[in-house]
Amino acid sequence: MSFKSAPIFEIVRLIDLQPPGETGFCMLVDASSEPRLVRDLQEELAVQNAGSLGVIDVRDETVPALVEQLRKIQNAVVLMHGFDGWNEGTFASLDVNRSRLETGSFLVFSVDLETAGRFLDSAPNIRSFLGSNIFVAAPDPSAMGPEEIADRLAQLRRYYDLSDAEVIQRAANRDLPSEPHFIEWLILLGRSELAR
Amino acid sequence: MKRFNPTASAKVAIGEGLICQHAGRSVFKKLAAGADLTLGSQQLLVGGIGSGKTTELMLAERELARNESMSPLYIDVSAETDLSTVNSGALLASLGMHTWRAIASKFNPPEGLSEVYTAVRNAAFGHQKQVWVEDFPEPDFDDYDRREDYDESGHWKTINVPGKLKPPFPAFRRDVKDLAGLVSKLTGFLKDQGTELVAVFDGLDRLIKADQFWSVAEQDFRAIRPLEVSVLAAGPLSILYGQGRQVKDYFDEVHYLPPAVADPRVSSFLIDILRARGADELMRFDLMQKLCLASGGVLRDLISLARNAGENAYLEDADNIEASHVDRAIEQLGNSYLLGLGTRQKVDLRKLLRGDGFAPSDSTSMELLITRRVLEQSESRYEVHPALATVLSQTSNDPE
Amino acid sequence: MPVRPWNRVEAAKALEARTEADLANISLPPPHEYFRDIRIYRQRATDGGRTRNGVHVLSRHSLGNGDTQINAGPTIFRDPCENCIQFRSGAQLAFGVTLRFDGAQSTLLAYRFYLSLLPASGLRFVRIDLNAPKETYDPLHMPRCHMHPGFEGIHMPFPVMTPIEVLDRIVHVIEPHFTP
Repeated sequence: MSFKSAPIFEIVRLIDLQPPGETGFCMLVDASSEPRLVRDLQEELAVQNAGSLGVIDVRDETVPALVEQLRKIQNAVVLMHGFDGWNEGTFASLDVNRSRLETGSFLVFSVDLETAGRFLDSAPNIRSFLGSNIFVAAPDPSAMGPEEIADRLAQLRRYYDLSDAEVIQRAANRDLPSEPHFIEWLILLGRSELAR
Repeated sequence: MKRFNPTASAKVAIGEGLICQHAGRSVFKKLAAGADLTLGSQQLLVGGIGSGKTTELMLAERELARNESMSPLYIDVSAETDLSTVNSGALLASLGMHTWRAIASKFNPPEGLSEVYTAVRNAAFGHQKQVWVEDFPEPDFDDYDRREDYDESGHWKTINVPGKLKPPFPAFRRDVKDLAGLVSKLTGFLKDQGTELVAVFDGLDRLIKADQFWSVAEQDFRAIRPLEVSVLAAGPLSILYGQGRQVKDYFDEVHYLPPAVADPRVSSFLIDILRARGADELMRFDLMQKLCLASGGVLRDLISLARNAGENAYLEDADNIEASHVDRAIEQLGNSYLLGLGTRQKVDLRKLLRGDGFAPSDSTSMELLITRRVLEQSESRYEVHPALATVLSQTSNDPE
Repeated sequence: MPVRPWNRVEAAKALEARTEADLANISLPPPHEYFRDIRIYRQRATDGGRTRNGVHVLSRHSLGNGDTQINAGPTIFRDPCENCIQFRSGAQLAFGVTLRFDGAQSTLLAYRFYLSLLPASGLRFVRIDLNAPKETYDPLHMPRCHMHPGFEGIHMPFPVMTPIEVLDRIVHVIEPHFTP
């Protein structure tokens, strides 16, 4: 299983397609750190003139409290993270209250792969609204310096104890796990065609 | 691209003329006719997620509004309150609030009715009241007579009495009968003015488990009966498969909205929906057909697929939607259905793909049906969602 | 009537000095940010229907000496050009921009914009160059910033601008002039 990987600038292009005032949804299955994702989104939204970014950490929030925050927030795009702390009942409660998420903002659910499965299994109405709008936030090598790319590749090699050549080989054999990290790895190596 | 927004409200889609009516599938005329012919009837519209229930209810409301003596009230209960924490009384409270708005917008209600509205509003949203709290609790006078100089000092304290529609608060069982009595005064006023109310309750289908639906709806629908207000309501698919309750015992009519016929060679319904949204300006007819088949007849999925194919083309700076964009959109939708599937569920799905049959007889298989990984083609025929089937065949060798 | 004395070589040198001064006043953001700005500009031009392709032909890479090169299309234009920017008219554009980053901002070192036109346009190409910094230029015959109006041997002095300004002139002023 692999999701569409898209660099942040493409995701923002898609967000920009949403008619103003109509709520949009997307889910970002992102392996990178939240601060980097938030920073990248903020910069890209500013450059593309696609609106401001609001960020909500939902970790300790109840659904009613989240709904109330969304009702008050004025930003064009709202990124929510911290769902890994939610249980299935809370996801189900959010699902029942799906109508109250329609605030006119574009909502981005940032989750890891495991949380994505739990979330969507317990929230079939929200899954239906998301449709195919589930992405792996891919790195944008054209916007990263060579040192940044080299550092990140070194991090991935250390974490998984695999070499670049091994990852490429396994991708060619369709034998790579579906973790977003591996999609990122292939893109940084300039082998994004193997990530499909 | 704007016309392919799967999250756009049904109201917007209807207003912009993006809806297609199909005689063999649309039920809104039956809903409206039933409410008109039999005042006080209660009809339930059941269908899977993304099947178009809200659109049908809104079309029914529009149909009823053509009749000057009818006053349909569309109420999305899920937008007005947190249904996941509510039980009985919420529907009645919502009906009361909407009825008052209808009265206030058309008539000059007497003061007594305004007081009824205040009582309904308090029941809906809660209120504050003053209670006397004693400073020293009264001693136990079992053994001796009460002293004349006993000090009854205390103070008034303001407490909040929660209402039905104000989350969050723990389940609060209220006398539904009292609330029904108040609401009946409001609905009775409209009847006296020659206006017949139809309550169109949407959002209850979000309660995907049947017992959740009943805990919210059962008492309220029963309490609404004597009011002679017709009711149209959306319900979850699981209700049709519920054990122990015959849904037809509770409603005068149950309308089932199945997945649309996906094969354009058999029915042009889905192609007409795409055409109404301008898809033929963006892609060839054979690609439109491919989207229809891949949607499995789930209307929201059809719109989502078309939009996604368009987005894929846009990101590649293509002038038109090509086959690769459509194929990728189908794969993406399939992957979203694949996400979260357990081993046992994948086994069941592969069996169904091989033609081994499927029965929603346990919670695992019911979940596949509710989450639309399995689509009902008829009472006893089921199929794997076509987009999911596409990716399942690709993952057959994946380690679990 | 006496003619006021005028020396074309000195005039060309003075113009070159003004070019260098203008160039020194151009301060650009860090390379990855400027790349992003160019990308957005390209995207908008394609969304607006001026060009057929936008962001996918852009690339950014580091040169051996630490400078950054932002490209669209090949260094030496050859027809057909698959990774050039394509106009609806059939015209094609390739460009390259060289930047030097000092830790805070980027200095513009060089650029090259090659607009290939259709035969019916009357000109084969228009090229706008800012040559890399060098000890000496012949300011009269080859000023550092110049335009080729369809001929390699003619170097018309051209005002130095930011790369996005040059791009904008080409997309909205020069190319439309040749569009039938």
